[in-house]
Amino acid sequence: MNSFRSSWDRRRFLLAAGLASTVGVLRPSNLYAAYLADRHGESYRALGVRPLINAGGTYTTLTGSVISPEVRDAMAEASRYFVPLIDLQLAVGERIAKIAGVEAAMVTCGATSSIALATAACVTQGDPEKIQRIPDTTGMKNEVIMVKSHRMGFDHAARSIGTKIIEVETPEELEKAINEKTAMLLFVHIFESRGKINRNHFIAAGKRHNVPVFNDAAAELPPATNLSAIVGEGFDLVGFSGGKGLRGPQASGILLGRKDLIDAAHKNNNPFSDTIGRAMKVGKEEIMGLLKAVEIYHQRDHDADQKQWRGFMERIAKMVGDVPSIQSEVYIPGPGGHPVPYLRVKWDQRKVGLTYSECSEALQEGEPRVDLNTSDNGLELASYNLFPGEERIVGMRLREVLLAAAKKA
Amino acid sequence: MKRKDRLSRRNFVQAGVVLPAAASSAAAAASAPRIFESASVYERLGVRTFINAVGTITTFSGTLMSPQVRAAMDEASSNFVLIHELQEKAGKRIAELTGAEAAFVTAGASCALCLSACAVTAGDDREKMRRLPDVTGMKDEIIIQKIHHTSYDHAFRMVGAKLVDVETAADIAKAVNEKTAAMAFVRSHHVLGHKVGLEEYVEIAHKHNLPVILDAAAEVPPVENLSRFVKMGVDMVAFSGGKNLRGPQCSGILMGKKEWIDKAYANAAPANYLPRIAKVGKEEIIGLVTALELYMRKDHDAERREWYAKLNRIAEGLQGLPTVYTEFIPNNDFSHSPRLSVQWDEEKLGLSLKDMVRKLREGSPSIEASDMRSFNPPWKGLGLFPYLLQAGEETIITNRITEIVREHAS
Repeated sequence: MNSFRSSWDRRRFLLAAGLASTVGVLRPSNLYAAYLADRHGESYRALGVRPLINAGGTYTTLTGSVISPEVRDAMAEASRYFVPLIDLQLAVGERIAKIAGVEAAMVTCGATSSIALATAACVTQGDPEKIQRIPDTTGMKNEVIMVKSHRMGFDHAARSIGTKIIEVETPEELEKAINEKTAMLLFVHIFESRGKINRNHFIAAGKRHNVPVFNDAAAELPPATNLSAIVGEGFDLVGFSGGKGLRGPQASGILLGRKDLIDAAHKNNNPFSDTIGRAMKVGKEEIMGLLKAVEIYHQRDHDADQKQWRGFMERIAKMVGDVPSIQSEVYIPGPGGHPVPYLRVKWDQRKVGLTYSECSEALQEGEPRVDLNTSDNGLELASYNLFPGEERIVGMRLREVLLAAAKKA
Repeated sequence: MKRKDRLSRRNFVQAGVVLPAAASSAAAAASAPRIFESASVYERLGVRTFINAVGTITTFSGTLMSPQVRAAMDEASSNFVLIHELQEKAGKRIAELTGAEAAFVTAGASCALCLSACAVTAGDDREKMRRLPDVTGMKDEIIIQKIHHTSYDHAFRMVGAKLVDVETAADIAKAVNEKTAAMAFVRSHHVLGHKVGLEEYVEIAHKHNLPVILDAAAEVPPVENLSRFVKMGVDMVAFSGGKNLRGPQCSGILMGKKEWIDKAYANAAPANYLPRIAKVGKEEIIGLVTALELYMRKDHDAERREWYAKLNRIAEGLQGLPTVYTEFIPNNDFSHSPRLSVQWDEEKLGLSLKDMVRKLREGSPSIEASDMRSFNPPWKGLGLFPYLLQAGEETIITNRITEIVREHAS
């Protein structure tokens, strides 16, 4: 496999060699050179960290999303002035609430922080003594009810407040589980299809027993309508990630919903000290960056995004079309997935002499590095974190790696 | 591309190499007209911006990042990377710069303390990590000198740890038992007067085979502190990134012995354990490393001279105003910046200190200064700190105080 490990030298060489030399119709050298010149990632490379093209998704380990230039400018502008941080939190919260059409909102240090602060709001109900004491929840409502199949790593955030998680599997169990110790019902949007309890069961049970219902909707944008719709359905609190579909700062999130609960969450949050939220700090730059991201997202032409993303996937499919035995399919994942175009690519692994994971590794080791998802069903490429032009590099690298293997096989 | 207009990649690289001169000229160029421009992003929200003569207070939004830090974050924001790889390499760089065995970037100093508490309770045992803040069956007591209690204790308690108060070395010997997880120490001007100093504290802790956690959030300057505490043998040290390091406000550093830093990082975001609630992004990580590099290469004596010069200009400017008197407040070990106290005859002028603070705040541009009676230890008069003043702001402060005094004197 042709590895471009020593990227800097390679780039110089390509530039020196002159861009006129054509290497096939796709002219990979031109593309690489142009790409590396524009998005070289100097500050990362100085540390020995290699930037990557993200055809995997908005995973935190892949650093979420890339903020848009407008967000970048808003953060840079914000960083030049001192402001009273509490006033800023309140003003930005109000503005986001207005855009989303909900009662209240606040900026958090990420969607997981939103879960923690939502739980803290429900457990302490804004009582200063309780805020100061958690995660010691003696004498407080300290049970959080979840659908068993919704349990996940992130529910640690609810437990971090000192709560016990009570698992239920049916609407009847849910009804029975609610008692005077119940602080909150925690619903995980992406797992709705996994259990026998749907959102309406949760919302209705919460209303009946006067217990707040929280929806963890971390990665549920797009669709853009979710920003308002989920609260509209009757959830008391909803949490979103700022660093995924919104393209805000990676370490930001939103909590929105009922005013009394947002007020209580705010009291548990930084910059107030002696709160659990003090460790989950969010600065003026991130707050202003997230606001900008929400504003842009609200006005954005989401159909155009979808069209562009589909175009990326179709182009990659076309570029690898001449690889022996290749099959590709553009699809939008069903419930539990992100409603954006993906591309599945499969081939006869024996015939080509390359497994899916070997292919993925080769793409990761190459330069530019490409990250995507592998499964037993082939490679799965996500469209929504690709920048115009990157789809051609992904297509080219994929074709290169597959053809090189097929030649040897 | 916008990013290129602002500071080309080449400029950025150079700025990183030739520091003091490039830094000061860039800072001066960027800051001179600053306060007179419209702060449009904040203005449209109705949020007040102000000249900060108080300090790196979190509720005052900490610090202002230098143009180089901003540029580095800008640049960092346009690429995807692997966050674990970035943390590992950033940590190595911080360790190289400070002489610590290991380090990584956190979502603030408070978050760093929370992570250190995870390290000494659950360690890197996955079952225990998953269970926090339920610390059943774990070592869960952290010894602390009574006078070191602050509102930041919550960072330890949020992990489920209990704080055990001591006052003397003899108390420590009595307090240590099989549940003791660590000994914590707080260095801050708020907590003067402890009976056991840091060196002795470390010695006692290590005699008992216990790690020492140090909260040194605001303990730079002096720059030497970045290396000094780890050299003294402190196992984990927490620094804020958003104070005098002039990094992102929501960033911090946890540094120290590799064994403990590795355990703390095992718990850190993005892994799904308790501290996942405190996330730090790629921009903040690069911003902090850049800020630290700049800070370590900075001419600190020149900076100090500049601080004195600014305060002198204010003192000179106020000379001759009716009943007004200014004095420099002597430094003690814990104050990192010179301070100027401005006093006047409150009765004669009919102008109380409180009114002065309010009038400065309510003017345009708004100025934040301190009522020094609320200090620990308390002082007199209006307190002015120079270390967050941008070039020219000392003149605005002088003019505004003059105006207010004249209004009352006439």
